[in-house]
Amino acid sequence: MILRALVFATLSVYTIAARADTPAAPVAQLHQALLALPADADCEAQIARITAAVDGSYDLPDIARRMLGTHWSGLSAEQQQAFVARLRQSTILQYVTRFGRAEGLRFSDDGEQAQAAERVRVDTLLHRPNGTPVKLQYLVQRDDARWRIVNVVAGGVSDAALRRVQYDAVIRREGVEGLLSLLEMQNSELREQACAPRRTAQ
Amino acid sequence: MARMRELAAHADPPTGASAGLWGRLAAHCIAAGHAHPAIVLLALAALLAAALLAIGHGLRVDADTASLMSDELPWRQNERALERAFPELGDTIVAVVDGSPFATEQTVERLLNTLRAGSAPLAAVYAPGHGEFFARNGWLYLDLAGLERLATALNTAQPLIGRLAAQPDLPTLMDSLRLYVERADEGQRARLQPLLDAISATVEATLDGAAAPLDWSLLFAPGGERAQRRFLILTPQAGAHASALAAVRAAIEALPADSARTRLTGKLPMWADELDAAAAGAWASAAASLAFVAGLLFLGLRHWGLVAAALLNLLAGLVLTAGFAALAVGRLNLISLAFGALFIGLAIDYAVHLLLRYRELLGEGRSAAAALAGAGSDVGSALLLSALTTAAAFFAFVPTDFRGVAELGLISGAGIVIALLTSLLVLPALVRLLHAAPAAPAPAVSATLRAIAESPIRHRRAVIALALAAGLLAAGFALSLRFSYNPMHLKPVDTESQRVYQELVEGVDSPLRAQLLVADAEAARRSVERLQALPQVERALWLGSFVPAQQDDKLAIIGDLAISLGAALPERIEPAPVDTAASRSAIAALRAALAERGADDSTEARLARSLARWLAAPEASAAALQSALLGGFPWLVNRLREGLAAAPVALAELPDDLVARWRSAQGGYRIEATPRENLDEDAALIRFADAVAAVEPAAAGAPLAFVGGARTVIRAFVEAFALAAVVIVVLLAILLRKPLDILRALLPLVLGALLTAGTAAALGLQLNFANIIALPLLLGIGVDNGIHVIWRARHHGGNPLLGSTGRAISFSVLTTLFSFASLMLSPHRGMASMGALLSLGLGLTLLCSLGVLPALLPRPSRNRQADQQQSAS
Repeated sequence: MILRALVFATLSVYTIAARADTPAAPVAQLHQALLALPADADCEAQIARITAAVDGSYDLPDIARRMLGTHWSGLSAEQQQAFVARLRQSTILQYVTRFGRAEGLRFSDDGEQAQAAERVRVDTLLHRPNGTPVKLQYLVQRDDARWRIVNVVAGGVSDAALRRVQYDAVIRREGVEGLLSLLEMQNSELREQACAPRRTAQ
Repeated sequence: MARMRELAAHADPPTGASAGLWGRLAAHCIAAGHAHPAIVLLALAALLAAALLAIGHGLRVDADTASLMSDELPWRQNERALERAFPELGDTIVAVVDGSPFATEQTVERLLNTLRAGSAPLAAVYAPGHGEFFARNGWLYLDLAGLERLATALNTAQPLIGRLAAQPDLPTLMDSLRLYVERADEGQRARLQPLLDAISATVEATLDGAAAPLDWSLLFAPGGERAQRRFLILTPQAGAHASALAAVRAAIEALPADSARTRLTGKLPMWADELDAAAAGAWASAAASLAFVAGLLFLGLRHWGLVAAALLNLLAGLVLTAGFAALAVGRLNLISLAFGALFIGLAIDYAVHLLLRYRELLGEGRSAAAALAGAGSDVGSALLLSALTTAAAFFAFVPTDFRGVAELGLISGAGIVIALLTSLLVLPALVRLLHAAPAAPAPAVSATLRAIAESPIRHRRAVIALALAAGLLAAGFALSLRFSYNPMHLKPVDTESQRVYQELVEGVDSPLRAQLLVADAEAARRSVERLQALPQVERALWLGSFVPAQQDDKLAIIGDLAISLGAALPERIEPAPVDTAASRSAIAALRAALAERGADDSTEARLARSLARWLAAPEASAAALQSALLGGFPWLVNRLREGLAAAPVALAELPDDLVARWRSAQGGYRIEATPRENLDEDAALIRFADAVAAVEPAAAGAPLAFVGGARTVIRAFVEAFALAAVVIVVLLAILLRKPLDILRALLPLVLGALLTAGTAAALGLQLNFANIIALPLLLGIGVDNGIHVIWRARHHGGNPLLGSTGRAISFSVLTTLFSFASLMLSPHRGMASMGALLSLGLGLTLLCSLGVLPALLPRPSRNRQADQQQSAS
């Protein structure tokens, strides 16, 4: 088991190092981490693993800024930091809840497509043991010579669009603080879900 | 009774008492014409042939109202400078396309393809806001708030768009909608309704066998403001106006049924509609008035031969005058086109006066030749004098800046001279050929008529008092008589081009804009600033205005949208296969989800019913529904992809066809100022034009042309009337000599003018570019009538109304009145108002000449009449 993990980790490092400056690199890094999740001891270990992967592959400050659109400049520096932190938490915890116990998954490449200068869409397929493959499309953008994920489209549905519309409605209704506490609440729910005893889940 | 008989005996004394030089000359002409009809008519035939040749070669109709004004006028020079710098902006056909963004874009594209590929004689085809540049950068032209609303709407719709982009089929559409319906909060639900309503309509239409494909452009209209208006501006090749218009109309006719509503307006269609309206019924009206004139002439002359002679004489004069117009001017404008009507109205008078006197003399037993010559010497001087005064009144317009009337003045003035000459030379020749039999004696004047005719003389004081009072009252009203500045109000109401114009003039697309040509970009910027500062100006534009404002913010929004929405848009949408079973179950699932929500009259319930109907219908075809609902989807994806590719726009990036309309080949810049108020109101029109002209003296454009034109016309009429008045008084002084008679001749003129102006004002009839030509005509006829009455009274004594003169005046005015009254039926508002003013004016002038003037004449002296009788015998 340990050996397997070691070999796997070595391979992963090798793969990532080999493709560090390609658009597919952050996607591969994320996928590796996701596939490794079920093997982790507990949800805290899983969270730690995905945190590293998300921090390494996502451009969260950029995503956060775009997500709030014109609201962003109205936030105080503290609010901006708090929002980035909670968005990061939310992203990480969603991965853990969705992939933490999913065995037998497999990713395959489905091509790349240039979207604009310094922006590429990396298409992949997520194969589940039973069920049709899901199309996962990552929009990656180069910033300071590194490619980073700025949006994920799952089965045609864009995460950025979904969240943007949701957050916009919340800010208009309850203000920025309302959004921050809502995210806080959602995150703790996600954490509960992620760390619930394994047998009761699913 | 005895007095009546006495009066009757003296009413028509013998002729030849004091013919004078002019009378003798007229008598000689008439004698010559009567003696040598063959020579006269051969000469006439040759002249007519030459005139017809000249007309065929050199007389065209110019419907451009701008060319009615002298090119020397400052505002005309501004206008011409703009026309030279931007020739394709001049005479255009404007197609106005109204519909949803999808339908208008598709329709504009179809029209462009037809018109560019076809053989339509168009020099330029321009679709503002259409084309690759605007497809890509169009969102930059929304305001920031509008673009944000659009971005939110598109993000909301993203799950639907994204799923369909991956799998454009019915199950995907229905499942996505079901997820929306199940999860939507109130705000999302409201945003979803237009789409659900449209899908409902498409489902119903498909079941009813109608083609109503779902218009996906509704996703671009978050606020429900789906209607979009596009323009196509078409410039015909020089000289191909009519065929270009026909080709454009044909292209619109040929549009498929699902195209957006397309209507035509603009200068050329409006001219065409205007000319059509002016011509509509013109033949019937001409025939009717000719019949009236012929009937009236017969009542007066009692012989068809004489009627024919008068009409043929008239026709010959008309052709000769048109020939003169072809040689001297070369064109007829919208105003000088009326020379025909004026000619008929005035020229028939000479024949009527001559022939009625001729008949009168025949009745006294003279031979035809002697009666004609006698008529010439009796009325010749009056005819000559009235012809000279009328011609003078017309020629007085020649030096004015109102070229429309200046040309009318030249043509009509010449026409009067021609009419006099043909009446003295050709008419006798025609009479000789057509009036062989001696006429029946002149009809006796009935007692009633006689009593009426006597009343002005009998009740002299009352008549004068009444005339004075009426004149004063009319003068009071006349002060409120206004000139209508807007020539658009003269055009026929019920034409497509006019209706579209009326719609446009109320909004920001108003065609009544000010324009300006400046030398460089810096000057353009300053001018736009100055104009924009005016409270009367809604918006001032120059080329630089087409560089979108707040581009950084807008590009940021579009950039975010490219990430949130653009990522899931494929380059090409492949049509998906139809899966009937999956479609039916997805539709059933959506129906069930909808049925749980919304009251009976809600959007959800409506769609649920439509879907239930579809599921129950035996003829329902999943393939047909998929094609109706998703056939337009690839268009949406393409438009989104194009819109997301927006890039910073600088002056240099603007498309060439746009630039060509704002920067001239010489590098000058065009500026446009749109009014804030609806300029259909004259007061607003004047405010706007004056405000713009005050800060930009070089400004041109329709509002300035209207106001400048109106002022030119008013000035022209004041100048011309002053000149005409002087000339008429001088002529009257030479020919009448007695100061009192001069005053008497002028009186019906002044009183008639006052009464006409006062009554018109009281009736709400405004002066305008068209009916103002009634004024010279009234001047001519008014002074003629006065001269005839005075001449008769002076040389024959008695009541001038009871002889041939009163009848001649009545008949000639009535013929004219009838021909003009028929104009009131014209659908062309300018023509109709001309008819109204002329009829009114002629009626009142006749009243003054026959009802008031005799009351001012010296009492017929018994002794003098007796003297005359003695000297004659």
